[in-house]
Amino acid sequence: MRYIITVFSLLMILLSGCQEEEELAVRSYPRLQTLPVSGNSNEGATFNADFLLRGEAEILAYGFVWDKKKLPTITESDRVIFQDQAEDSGFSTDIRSTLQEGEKYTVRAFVKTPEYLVYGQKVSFTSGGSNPPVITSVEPLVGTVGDTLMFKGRGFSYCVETNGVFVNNMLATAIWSTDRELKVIVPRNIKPENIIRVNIAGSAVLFDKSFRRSSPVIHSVSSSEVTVGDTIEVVGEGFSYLKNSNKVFIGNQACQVLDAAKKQLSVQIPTTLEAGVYVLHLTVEEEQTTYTSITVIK
Amino acid sequence: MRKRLFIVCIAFVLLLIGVKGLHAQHHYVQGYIITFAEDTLNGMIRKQQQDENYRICYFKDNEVETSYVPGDIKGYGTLFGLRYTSEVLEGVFVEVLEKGDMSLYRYNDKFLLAKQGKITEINQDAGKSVAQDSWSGRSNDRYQWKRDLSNLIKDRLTDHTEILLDFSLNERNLTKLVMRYNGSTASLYGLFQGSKAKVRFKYGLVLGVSRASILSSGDYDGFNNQNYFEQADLTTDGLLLGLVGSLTFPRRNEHIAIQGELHYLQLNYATQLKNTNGDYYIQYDDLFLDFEKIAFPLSVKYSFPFGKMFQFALQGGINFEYNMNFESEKISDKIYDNLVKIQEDLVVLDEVNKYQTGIWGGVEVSRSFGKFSGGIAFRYYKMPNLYDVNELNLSSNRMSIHLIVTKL
Repeated sequence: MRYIITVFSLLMILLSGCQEEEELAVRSYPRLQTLPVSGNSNEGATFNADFLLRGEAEILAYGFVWDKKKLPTITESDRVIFQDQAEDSGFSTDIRSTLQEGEKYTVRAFVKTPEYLVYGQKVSFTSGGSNPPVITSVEPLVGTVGDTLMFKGRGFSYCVETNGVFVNNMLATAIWSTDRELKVIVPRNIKPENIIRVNIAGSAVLFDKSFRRSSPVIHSVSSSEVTVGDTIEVVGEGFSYLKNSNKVFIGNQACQVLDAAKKQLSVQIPTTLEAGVYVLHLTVEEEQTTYTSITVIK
Repeated sequence: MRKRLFIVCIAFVLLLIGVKGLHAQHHYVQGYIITFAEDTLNGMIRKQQQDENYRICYFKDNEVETSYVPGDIKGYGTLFGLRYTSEVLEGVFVEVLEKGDMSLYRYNDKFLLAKQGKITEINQDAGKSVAQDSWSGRSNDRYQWKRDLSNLIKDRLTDHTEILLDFSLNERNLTKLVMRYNGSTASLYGLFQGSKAKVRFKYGLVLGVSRASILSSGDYDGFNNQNYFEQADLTTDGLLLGLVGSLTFPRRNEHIAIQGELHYLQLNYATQLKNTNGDYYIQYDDLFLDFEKIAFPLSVKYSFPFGKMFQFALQGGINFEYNMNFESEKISDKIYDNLVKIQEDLVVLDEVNKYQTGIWGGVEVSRSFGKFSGGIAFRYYKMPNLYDVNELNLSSNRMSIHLIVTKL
């Protein structure tokens, strides 16, 4: 009896050992599976992924992409990217911002190797909301319209248009962003002291310092004796990058600003100006300065 | 799950080997041997399997063990009453059941009666009762053994006809009959009054492995204009565990039984296909089908002796299966140059028929071990109607090897 059981057990071992049940084909890239979203609450959600087959390929980066669109991508959607060693079993991360309450999102896990970019399956979920971003610094805190402000923190959106930055309730145009950095252009009509507010996916945060409007200063002009139609260089500080935001008057005649930089303006002398000695006035966002005298020669 | 099962089987075999190892130590009981010089030597006799007792005797005296084959000694025995002699059949020891004017011996499943120097083998099967000292030809009469018995006992037992009318041939009944013949007052109750049960029920356990396949037929024009199931190799191995119960009707026929079983088995299929769309993309499809089944095989079984120690059976019947749980999943990898998109696709086979009825047949070899019978069965099950929608017809067939342990 014992012999029959032994023979039968050996047979079972052979058969079960040879079985290829549920083994996936070896591929030259890691195969991964986006798992259902967990921990969905008003503070965010947890994204999860599993490796179906880790493989031997080197993993350069991995993470998740998510979007309100049906097909999030690594170039156009919000994302979190890891570059450390991935666990063989899978990976997860908590997303605490950029998710708007009540909105439907699609998320995919991804893995990047030297040869392939691999996306896992799409998983859809309706968000319970998320926390606002955290702002650790804004530089510079003094400036004028057209200046570029650099925000540092976490929880920003890779999708530039998703980041709503307001300087004294005036919308600042965001020009570049990652999840930790954000660049915006100071808008027009700012006040001397301005509250900075960032709003992402319906959650807003105020920066604890205000943005102060700077005053322009003219150090010199390239030529104090000019003829009508000439172009002079006005050198100083606190000018605006936006040409039209720099209002230059010689006497009571407005001058065209041909080119603008933070410390230099190229200004054309109006052709309608009569010969004489004038004061040059410069106004940037209600901040004024003057230059003593410009002599116009006919 | 497979890896866990592999480890369990390894552990089971190692345990058996370990147990066997423990049992490698021999056990001895008090006994004796009788030499051809009629000397009786007392000592210790090694306990061994019955089939070994017919072949060889290990005798230990003062820690020295000697083996004796039938040509070496006249006989041997133990103080518990087992006796063997080499003087009945050449080359083997036979067990002495009863000694007297008529002696009864046993060798494997054969019973031998010795009277007045003549040995008669009593064999119920196909009436092969043969007188050893003269081969008078074989008779195919299935009651020849009763006639032989009757001839042997009629000189002393006048009620021999009545005795043998419902006589069941087994060691107990033959021993009592011979004792009665030899003058013992042993009761014959039970020899012919209800000695055979009308119905006998036996039950046991089944453990098995199956190799199952899903086959497709029909004119299904599936996704991508291909019959996915025609191309896919859906074959898997699975384990099963179950119970078996059988009914025999000894008074009518001891060879035929009706057997019912209850099996639980899991089958997990996995297959892959590779498709290319020219230079545009390559697609790998992995299909996973997981089944949890309960099966109810019913059969008629015909068994007969096979060799000296075994029973051989032919079996066939109907199998009812209940697909308790079914899950399917298809994962596709689409590769566009260096971009890989892994996605879950719709599986055509999203659910299967809950109930299937099919047929099966098989053979079994078994042997009795005291109170139990152990056997190995080879079976084939043909199970249609796994899925039958939109011209896609799937059937699931399997071959199985079963270990069946029955309590006698």
